[in-house]
Amino acid sequence: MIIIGERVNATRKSIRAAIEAHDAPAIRNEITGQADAGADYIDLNAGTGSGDVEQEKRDLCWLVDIALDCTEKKLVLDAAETEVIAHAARHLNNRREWMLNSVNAESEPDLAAGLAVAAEFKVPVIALAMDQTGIPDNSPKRIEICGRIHAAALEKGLAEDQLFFDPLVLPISADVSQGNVTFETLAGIMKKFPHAHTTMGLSNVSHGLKKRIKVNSAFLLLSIANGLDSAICDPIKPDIMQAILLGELLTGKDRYCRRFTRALRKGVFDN
Amino acid sequence: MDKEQYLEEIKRNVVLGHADKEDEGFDGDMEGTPGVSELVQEALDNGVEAKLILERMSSGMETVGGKFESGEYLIPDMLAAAECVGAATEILEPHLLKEGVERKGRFVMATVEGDLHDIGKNIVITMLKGDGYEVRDLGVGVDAADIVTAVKESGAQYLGLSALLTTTMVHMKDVLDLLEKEGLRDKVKVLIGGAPTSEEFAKKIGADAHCRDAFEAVHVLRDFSAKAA
Ligand code: B12
Repeated sequence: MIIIGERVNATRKSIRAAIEAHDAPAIRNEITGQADAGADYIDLNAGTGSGDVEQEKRDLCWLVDIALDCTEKKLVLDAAETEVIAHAARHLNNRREWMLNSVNAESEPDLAAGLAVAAEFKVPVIALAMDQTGIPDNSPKRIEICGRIHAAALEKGLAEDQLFFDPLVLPISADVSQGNVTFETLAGIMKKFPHAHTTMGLSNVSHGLKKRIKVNSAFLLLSIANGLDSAICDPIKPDIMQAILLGELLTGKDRYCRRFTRALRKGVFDN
Repeated sequence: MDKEQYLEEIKRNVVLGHADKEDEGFDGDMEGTPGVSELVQEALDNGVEAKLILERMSSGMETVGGKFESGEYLIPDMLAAAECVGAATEILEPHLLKEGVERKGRFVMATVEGDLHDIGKNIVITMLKGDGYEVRDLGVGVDAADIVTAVKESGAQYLGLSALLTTTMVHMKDVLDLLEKEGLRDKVKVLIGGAPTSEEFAKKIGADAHCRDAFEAVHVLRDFSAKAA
């Protein structure tokens, strides 16, 4: 399981405040905490919602510098605008392995621009299963969109195993069929593109419900059973790490149950 | 590395279940470093006797047994270690023959009639092979006549019977009765095991030993050969 730590995201109030106050120690804590908890990649998102793209570019570079300084983990450059990612990518200049988050098929020029950045730096890219019509409510359409992104990416010179498809999930509270739509999309992507990866955020699924962490982690477990091999999540939450460990254990991805038993010894399952 | 260093390194890798360089080992930090298979080959190439390697691996399994009994190791950890030894034994086999080392003994093993459980039996087999025994596995659901025929044909010194069901453990008695009838009872030591069996049950049906687990089997066999010597 490739774990992408999601905590350094300016949509979170504490992170936005830390970015605005240039509170580097706060950011550093968030990064090293996730690294210690088992994250493979650290996601960095500086979109405070101010609408000031130039500010976001500076902020993302600031986050990159802190990460380079305090962790050895790979990074994820995460922004809504490709130009923000491209700017931070040039600043980072492949001093660390990284991944681009994200592209989608909403607009062909935007997709091409995002893929071009990934191709230029030879890095993996997260691709969302949505297009100009939004997020389809059924899996065949989502898989079809992934197919379009796949074709465009290969044309730009990316390899299939550099693609991390995000099947997306809509709240189960509004439509109980949405869990299955995501599972079917996952299974479909893995079947059609066996070398590609799949990843996703979990929290949408429980929007509008309670005990959300329980819902999210159960969703993660079922997603792993359907082929999910990466997640954008909070590795500091025991429920999440437990779901990952149990999912890999029960789907035969944990030789001699070793990651599970090591986690037992570390106390991951004590609460 | 000198001879002693090779042997200790092999033992350490057995205990950590580190089969080969692709494997991560018990603590998860050993990928890329040589495991039991590579070390055994290297040790042989450097003139370490196969017999000494086999002995040191057994001593490693002894350590593993202790860790299992204390609860530090779970079944998969024990399996990983046993499989290291199993794989290494295959590498050692031709060398042992060349050195003229006899296998410790011949073993016939079966799950009795009507019973299809074989996970425990297979663990015992892996462990025994690792400890230097030659094992013939008859599989599951084997009736008394077939078991006795196999004992007769192979001239095995040891017979292992496994049963996991209260309804099938009674067939262990059938096997012992038939051995008696065929005049083989004093030619073969009979070990029994499986969750519903017990010391008392072994006594009642006239088996030579009951074993709670694979490690006890290894110990019991050691006692037998000590007494025989
Ligand atoms: C896995 C399992 C199965 C699997 C077996 C798969 C397989 N390939 O073996 C399947 C699903 C097929 C199965 C089927 C059944 N099972 Co079942 N099964 C189990 C279970 C969960 C685990 C057994 C196991 O593998 N343990 C792990 C191994 C490592 O331990 P072990 O076998 O005890 O072996 C160790 C020692 O005992 C010893 N040992 C064992 N044999 C020997 C032999 C020698 C010579 C030596 C020295 C040592 C030794 O060393 C081993 C290693 O340390 C047990 C529950 C339990 N707690 O045991 C039930 C259990 C044994 N099964 C049970 C039942 C009832 C059945 C079924 C009748 C169910 C059904 N209604 O269909 C069927 C019967 C099928 C048949 N005809 O055999 C009951 C038996 C109850 C009873 N009083 O008899 C149990 C206890 C479950 C329960 N609590 O009800 N089962």
